[in-house]
Amino acid sequence: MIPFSRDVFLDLVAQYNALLWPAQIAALLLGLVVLYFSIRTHDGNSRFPVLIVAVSWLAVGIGYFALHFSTLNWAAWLSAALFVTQALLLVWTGVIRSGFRLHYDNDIASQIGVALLAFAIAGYPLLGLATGTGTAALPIVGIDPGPTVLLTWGFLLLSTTPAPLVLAVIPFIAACVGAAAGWLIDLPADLVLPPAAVAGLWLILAKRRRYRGAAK
Amino acid sequence: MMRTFEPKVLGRRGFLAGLAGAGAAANMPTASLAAAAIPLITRAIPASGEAIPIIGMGTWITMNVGNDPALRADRLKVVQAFFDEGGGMIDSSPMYGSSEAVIGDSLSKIANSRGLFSATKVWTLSQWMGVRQMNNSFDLWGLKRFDLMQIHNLVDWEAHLETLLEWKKEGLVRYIGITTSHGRRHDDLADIMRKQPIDFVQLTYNMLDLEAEDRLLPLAKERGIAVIVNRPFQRGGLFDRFDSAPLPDWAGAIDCSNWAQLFLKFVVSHPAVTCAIPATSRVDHLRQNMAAGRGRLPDAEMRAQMIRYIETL
Ligand SMILES: NC(=O)c1ccc[n+]([C@@H]2O[C@H](COP(=O)([O-])OP(=O)(O)OC[C@H]3O[C@@H](n4cnc5c(N)ncnc54)[C@H](OP(=O)(O)O)[C@@H]3O)[C@@H](O)[C@H]2O)c1
Repeated sequence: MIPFSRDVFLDLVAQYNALLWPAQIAALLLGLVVLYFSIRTHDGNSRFPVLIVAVSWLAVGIGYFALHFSTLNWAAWLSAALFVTQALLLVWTGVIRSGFRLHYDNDIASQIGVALLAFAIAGYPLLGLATGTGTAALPIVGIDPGPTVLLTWGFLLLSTTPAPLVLAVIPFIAACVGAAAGWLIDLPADLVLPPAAVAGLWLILAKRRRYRGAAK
Repeated sequence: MMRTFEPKVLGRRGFLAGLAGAGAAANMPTASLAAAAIPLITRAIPASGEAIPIIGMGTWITMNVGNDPALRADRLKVVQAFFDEGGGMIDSSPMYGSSEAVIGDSLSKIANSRGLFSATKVWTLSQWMGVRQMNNSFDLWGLKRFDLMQIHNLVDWEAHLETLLEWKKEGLVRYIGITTSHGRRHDDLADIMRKQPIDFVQLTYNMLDLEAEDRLLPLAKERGIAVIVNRPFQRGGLFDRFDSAPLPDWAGAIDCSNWAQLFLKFVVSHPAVTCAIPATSRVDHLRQNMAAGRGRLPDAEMRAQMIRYIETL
């Protein structure tokens, strides 16, 4: 059960957006940077875009959940902990250990990955607008959890070596929880999360199998 | 702000005195004289004989509006109207996000809250955490004493009951209660009602969820335990189902002019029920709900007719 109404939730998001304005512009630009690095065919290291995604999880965990959303819902503290953990995992795997590289391969995983990235940056807010969130409460990547989770799925699919599974666990949980909340308070944009998570996980697993097969 | 309370006697005189105070509060709507003319029906708490109005107010979702000043001002109007209408019990919980803070904020801004019967809950594991949580509730409400402290959904009830029995002796809480909702842990609750010295139970009862009639309500009557009814509208589900249907012709015979009043009068007319706590975010709904605490209540025969009618819809 959700302890707040749709109107109160949208009001809270609008307040948060207003508080952070114009950080949304920077967040969208950083989203485009991630997209650029992801589709650029290069084999260099991908620490910078990984860092951007990690900082997004950290910002959502601390700013959105712990400092803002926890006034309405005690469970926001759990989400905050999960988002901060994901940020740390991304930094450990992708920045410190340089565990994966982004590369557009022109296969189904890369195509869906790019589509999810683009949708997280532009489609999510537009869908929000079309389904009644209003401009003040637009969900923006790097600021709000939904598009940040979606961006991460796209990003994980664009890793040349299969993304470490540990990085998919929290985005999977976050996608399910986000969609359940969206369903309960009538925010249809969030319903894109579970299909993206299921497709993402399936494609990552398939890539891992292929990769292991090729290594034999 | 800390607030002290005299024992509640919500007679007409006390209520009108409260209204006079309300008039002094800046920017507040003037109290409804129609409401003042007819006090709310009260029921006695079996443990003490103290009378409380049969319609109170819940705060789940409706009062959880965070720190937004505009939304808080909006809910302040609901709380103000509640007291203007002679309301008593406000029920909340640390589980309800910012609701306790919003209620505390409202209480600090209105002048006629003397009729308040403050009811909140402890909802956490371990005695130590419970003490911390309840102390926080005192701060949030701005109170030195709660009229009623309830153990929410039986969570770690043995630990909290120990604290509360001690606190009752010390005068920090006046009554102790335990809560549940529809169909949850009724066996355990019945056991506690039989064996423990509690003053109140809170449970779900409405025109579609009648389970409490079988065992818990008769047991409460037998044991002299006051009953608070939560979800009297089935979280709004009763309106979704019946609001478009015509109100029966005989609704006027029990002074009901809308479905909300019919739903509430059904609940509070059960002989074991002390008070119902409908929640609302709207002043017009609040006034409809409070009006259910006035006028004629259905007798057993009429109650059966009410159930038969909604079964035909
Ligand atoms: N285990 C527990 O301790 C427990 C469990 C459940 C509930 N509770 C307590 O019991 C309280 C009541 O239960 P509840 O809030 O779940 O449900 P409820 O009171 O049965 O229903 C609340 C819903 O009814 C609507 N409503 C209220 N008055 C109305 C009217 N006159 N006309 C049309 N719609 C109306 C409200 O919407 P509007 O805002 O639009 O009016 C709200 O959506 C809770 O707030 C809580 O304090 C305790």
